[in-house]
Amino acid sequence: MDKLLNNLVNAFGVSGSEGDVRNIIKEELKDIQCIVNEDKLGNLIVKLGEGQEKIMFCAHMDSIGFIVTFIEESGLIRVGKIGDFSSSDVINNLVRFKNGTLGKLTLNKEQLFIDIGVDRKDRVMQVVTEGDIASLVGSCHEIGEENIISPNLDNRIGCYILLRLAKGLKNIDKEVYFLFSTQHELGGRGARAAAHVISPEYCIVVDLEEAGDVFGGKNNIKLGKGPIIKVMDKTLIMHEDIKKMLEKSAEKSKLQVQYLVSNSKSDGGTIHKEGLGIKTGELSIPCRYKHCFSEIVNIKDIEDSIKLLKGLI
Amino acid sequence: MECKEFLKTLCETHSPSGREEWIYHVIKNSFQNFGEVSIDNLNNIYVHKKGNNKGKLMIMAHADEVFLMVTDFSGKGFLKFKSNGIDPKALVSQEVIIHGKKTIEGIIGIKPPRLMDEEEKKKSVDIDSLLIDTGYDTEELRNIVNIGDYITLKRGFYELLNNNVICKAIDDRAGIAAMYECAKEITNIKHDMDIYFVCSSQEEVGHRGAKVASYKINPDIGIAIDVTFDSGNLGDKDRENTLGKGPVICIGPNIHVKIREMIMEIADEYNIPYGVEVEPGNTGTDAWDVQITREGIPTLLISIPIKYMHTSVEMVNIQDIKHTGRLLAKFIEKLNDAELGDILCF
Amino acid sequence: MLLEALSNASGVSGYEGEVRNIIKEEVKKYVDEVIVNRMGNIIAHKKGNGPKIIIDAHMDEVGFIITGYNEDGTLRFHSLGGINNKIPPAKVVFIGKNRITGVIGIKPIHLQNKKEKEKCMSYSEYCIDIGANSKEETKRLVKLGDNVVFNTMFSEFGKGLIKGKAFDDRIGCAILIEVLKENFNCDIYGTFNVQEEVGERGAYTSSFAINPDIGIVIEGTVCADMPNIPDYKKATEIGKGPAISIMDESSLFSSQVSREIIKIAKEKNIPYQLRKSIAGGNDGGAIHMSGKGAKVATISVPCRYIHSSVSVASLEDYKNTCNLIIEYLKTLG
Repeated sequence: MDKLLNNLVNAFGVSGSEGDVRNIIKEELKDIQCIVNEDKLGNLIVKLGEGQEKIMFCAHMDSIGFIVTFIEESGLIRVGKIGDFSSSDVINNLVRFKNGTLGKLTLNKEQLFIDIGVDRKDRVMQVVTEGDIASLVGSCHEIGEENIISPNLDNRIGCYILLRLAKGLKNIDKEVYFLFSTQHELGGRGARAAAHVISPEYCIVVDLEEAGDVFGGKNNIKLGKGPIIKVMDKTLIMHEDIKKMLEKSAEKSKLQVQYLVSNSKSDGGTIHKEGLGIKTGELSIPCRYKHCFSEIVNIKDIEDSIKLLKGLI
Repeated sequence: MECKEFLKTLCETHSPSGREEWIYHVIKNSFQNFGEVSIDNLNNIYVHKKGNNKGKLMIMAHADEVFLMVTDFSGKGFLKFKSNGIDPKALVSQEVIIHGKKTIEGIIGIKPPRLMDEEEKKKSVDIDSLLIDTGYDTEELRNIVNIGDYITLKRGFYELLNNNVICKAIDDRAGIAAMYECAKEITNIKHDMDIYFVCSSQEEVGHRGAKVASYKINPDIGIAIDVTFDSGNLGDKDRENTLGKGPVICIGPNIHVKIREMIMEIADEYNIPYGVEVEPGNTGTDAWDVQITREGIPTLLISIPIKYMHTSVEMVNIQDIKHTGRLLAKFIEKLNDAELGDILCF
Repeated sequence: MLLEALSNASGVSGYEGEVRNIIKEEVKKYVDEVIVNRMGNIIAHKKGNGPKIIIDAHMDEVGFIITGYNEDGTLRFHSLGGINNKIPPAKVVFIGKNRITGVIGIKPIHLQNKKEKEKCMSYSEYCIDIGANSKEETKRLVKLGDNVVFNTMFSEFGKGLIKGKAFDDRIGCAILIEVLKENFNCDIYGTFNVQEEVGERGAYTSSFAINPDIGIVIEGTVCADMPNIPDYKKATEIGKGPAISIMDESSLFSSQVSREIIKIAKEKNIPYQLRKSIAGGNDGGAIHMSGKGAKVATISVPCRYIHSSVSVASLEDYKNTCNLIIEYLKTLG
């Protein structure tokens, strides 16, 4: 598996604490001809190329996580959720605090707890205090037929795709922006601020979408059957121009795509309403068990998305 | 064009959230004599009627209607769908239009009652159990329709008693018709304010167009024209809105106090009937997003009472639309003499 | 197409006048004698030797009837014939002989509380709104007992299909008229009956008068071939040809007649299917329970969504049903 992808996925980057992910991206872009800026919300904005048209690609750096709200006398740590997900999908697994402390995530009557194996509050407070952030932790493996399994694939996969795209660009006649946004899991907060400043004509968001080919699956998206043109979700109706652009590129490169109407939220939701309005759409990568401890994504879907997006520039 | 005739044309056009450019030609044809017509990135449609640079007044009605969307193919030419704003109870035994590569008709039917078990008979209709019948076989259907295609209600325009009319999409074509009445009336007067009539986009999915349009125009005053519930038997009994008794002026934190008082005085002065309703918070209209755009925009909300909102048989009174247009026209006239600074300051 | 005129015409149970007039005009050209009996049934007699055959279709459709006035000028109503209480919301209807336009609206979803969202509404909660301002105004225009029909217009649909209201049983009427255009050896009585939907009422009186040997009923019948219905519940399927009934709640169909019909279908290569349900009822029940009784069979055109505001059927099925009946009758007498 690509080392870059592995590093991205394993980095600590819960909403609001995306620093490590930011650094990996900055490091990767060192040798490319581009301008890299960090804004007030921690967004990383990368600019390449010159031209009449301004196009922006966006992927969020943050992943879901937990924030410490209270430490019990017994040493158990109460945490709240950062992001929108189901407790039952993540519990009984390892979590890691930013400073490296490991613990087990458990659930008791709707309240999430982390057990770091320290039995007294004062001793816990030496390593963890209220307000500290924890993330799911595991290792990234290749399984099955070219699939990747790991926590936090959402949305390091998106960041990876953007980086591959950026590194592969030559002879650009457009002004291209790559926005690595923060706080997506809290409602597209980082992306909105960046879009307000950049104000592109077109924006394509790259993110993961729940694949329905699992027990209790609610849609007809299949892993490995191509990137998804997400026509509408809870926050964004794909602009007709973006839809046509994506379809044209897919056809030209003979790539299979899937279509989806979903209930999820997109950075595009806050982006498209900024300024004078931005023509926005999201290209999604199918992901089984999204926002669970072990997410699964297909490598061919990733490669196809990169090809498809390349065809837009 | 007569109000009723224009409303019929507007309602019978299809314009679901996100595809408001489908109604652009109707707006252009009818409003182009009043001002410059244009459309933006998010499909907000603007009609700019120049005044004397005294200030900018934005009047906004939303161009989009509630809709359904194709989510999957279900075999034998049937389609699964998602509803945006329409009660599944109101979809049983309805005809719809599917906007695929070409426009085709569909029927939403239900299983015969004798196939329902006791529980199903007592329960309300579940959206997941509804399918759209297209009359094609699935293979041919896949060449015409795709996931993500829009579906709108099929309903003609009918006249009832007392100037009441019914059609689909009265919400918010009645608002656009009111703006048209206003535009007609101000044609012959000299108004100092620059008027922007805006047909905003994507109101039904979260007032998205309103934010962009207000940002773009940055008016001194923004007036949203939408529809509201009547207070009849099948309406909201906590209000006092009656069809035929005039437009309804909203009071609440979303509304600028002085401008609202001014418009009520104008209505009294010109004997324009009106009602009043109170909204303690989010009015659920474009007005909510207009108010906090940029540095803030003094906002007003005028609503036209309708019955049976978000069904294919929405009912409105033509006189209410005309009175709304007239009230807006008189307001524009009065602004000639007003000191904007006085009205807008706290 | 005659079916279009028949489907669009108004004729709920007890108020079949408009339909009766269309059929009378059309049928008199092809038969020896047309009479209208005391209940309003049309009996069209095509004389011949051999067995006495009744071919039956009913003129009435399901609809509504005005039962009262509300204080706010809206009207209370009930279903005339079985229309399930999930059907009425969001419809446009015409009331009475002046065809006054009204709508059946419901409370907007935003105003419904949890209980209202979850339970099914009943007829006592529905009303028809004609835009009147008062009960007095409404009383001047609409009378108690006025009949109410849906505004649905007939048209082609999808690929080779048709849609419209009242396919049950204007399809039967249209087919019966086609059958009466042909010549046969037996003694044919085409009965266009009234009030089937409220208990096969008309059919009792016409069969008593005729006293047939065989009764063939032509219906638009239930077809639940939607993809989310298990196969054993579908009853019939669009496009698979005329449906021959095995049994319903009013009749156990004469296996002799039904078997002969199936034999003809096979011989003449006319597609057919069996109506795989024993629910429902039709004029066949009245025919064999009147006077001396008769052997009865029912042949139907599958129609999706019968007893609602718009049904769907196949033109192929319509034509094949016509052919099958004609071919069967040719073998008699």
